Amino acid sequence: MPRPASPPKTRAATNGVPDHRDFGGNRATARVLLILSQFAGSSASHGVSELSRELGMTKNMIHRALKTLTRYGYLVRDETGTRYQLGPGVLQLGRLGLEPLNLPVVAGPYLQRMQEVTDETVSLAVRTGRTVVTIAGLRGRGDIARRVPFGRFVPLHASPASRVILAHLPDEEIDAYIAAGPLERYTSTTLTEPDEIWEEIRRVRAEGYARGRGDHVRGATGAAFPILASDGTPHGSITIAGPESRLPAERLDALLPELLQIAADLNRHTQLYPAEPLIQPQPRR
Amino acid sequence: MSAVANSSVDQVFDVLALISASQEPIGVAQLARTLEVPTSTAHRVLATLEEAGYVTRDMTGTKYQLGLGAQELAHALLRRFPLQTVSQPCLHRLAAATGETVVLCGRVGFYRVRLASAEGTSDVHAAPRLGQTARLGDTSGGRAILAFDDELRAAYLRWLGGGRASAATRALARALDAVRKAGCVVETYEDGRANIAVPLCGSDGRAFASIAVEAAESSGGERVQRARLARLRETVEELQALVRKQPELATDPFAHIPPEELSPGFEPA
Repeated sequence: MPRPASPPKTRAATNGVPDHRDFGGNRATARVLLILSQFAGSSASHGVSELSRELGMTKNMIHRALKTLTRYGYLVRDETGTRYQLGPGVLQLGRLGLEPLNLPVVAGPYLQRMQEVTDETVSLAVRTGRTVVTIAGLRGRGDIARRVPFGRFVPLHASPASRVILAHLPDEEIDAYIAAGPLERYTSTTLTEPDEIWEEIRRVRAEGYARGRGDHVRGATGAAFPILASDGTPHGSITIAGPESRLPAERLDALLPELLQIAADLNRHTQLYPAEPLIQPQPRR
Repeated sequence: MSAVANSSVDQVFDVLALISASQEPIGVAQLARTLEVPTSTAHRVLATLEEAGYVTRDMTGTKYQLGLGAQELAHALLRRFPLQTVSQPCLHRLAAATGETVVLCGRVGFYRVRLASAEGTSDVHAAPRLGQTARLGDTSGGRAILAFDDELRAAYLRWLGGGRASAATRALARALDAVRKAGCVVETYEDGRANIAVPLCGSDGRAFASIAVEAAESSGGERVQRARLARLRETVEELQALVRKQPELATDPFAHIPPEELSPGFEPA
């Protein structure tokens, strides 16, 4: 069966001999990898001049790297013949298949980072129909800490973990959720009026996170961040929560940049995967 | 470009290929042994790959596995098939209705690639991985495509037999005739798995993808199989109607390259 031409093997040239070109070679290789990474973005093809401009490398460097990457099948020329697109070689990188998204496992290290940065309780929640349920979490390290509300179902309009998921649903779904009701009230600050809920949704969308407002548990503070899928709909949310005495608004504000960064890092991972639609299993006939 | 100037890049891609092919994270010593390079070279190559995000260390901090940067590239390639995202709701409905795992199979040259899947809702279900490739003739999803594209079929048989007819090409040709006649691939395996695959055809009647229902356990007899096939055909109809309205959904990102130049570069697992 035909196989792609093997790139020339040159191991013997360096085998066991200290390589004086190491440093230069290393840099050249790093450049090749950096150029390849550009193709993971949303645009299907890239041209030489464009890459040269964006990466600040000479056209000659880009040419050489593209030639190497094409030789390995990582890139191919696109239908214009002058630009390049990802080639079948990158499927080698998923040779054993790409892992399906296992949210608790993928989110684990990020929950831990958020807990380390804040010393407060962090939790992971996913949507189930009209509610959101906590499926993983780490308790804060202080003598007083919020409970990880494992298995607690909270409606989509109450609590930051819920509201941040609600805000990232399509508008029609939000309308349907509000119209179907009931919009239960838990505390004096629970939002139960459609206008209030929509105002909060716009705020969450603009700021990228939902803030605790004691709307499910009185006096609770914290912030929740969306965990999004490739189409921008939510896989779930990650929430940091603390007692008001330890996590006043000023402290939360100071922590926010770092928390947003951790959430962004997690999303880089989860946005590789499409959202799993909510399906109620049917009894087998 | 001289061969020597390439050595560093070659080493990096050799290490990357080895790590992608490994079931488990690999240590530096093992990498060096396998590739017959000094440990210091393996260290240097791994440092380059780690810095660029192509490999990461496992929990022990001493062994290496494929990193997010490398996986992103494979995912990016799958996204170039517009059908991948669009078909997701259909696949999930079919998985819920049948209880079994549903896979959207696309084509890269002579290979079928798993573009998208929806896990079955049964407790025991097939768990195929996205991005996996296999020769078209070796899988039910691939044969469903081959049987409904005459030009591709002829080219594939030539490629498979190295230009000559052999026992293997004749057997495959017979199997494809049967698929063409039945309109679907139905296969059961000794371990109880059962696959059904139906092609997705464009307005020109040629298959550009296929949908397979991959059942994990004994398929529950012919009646269940027939019901499953009927439900699968509904899903195929639904997607074909969508493609008739938006032909660009059937776009093959590699249409401009002859299939024989598009081998994904490795033997199927």
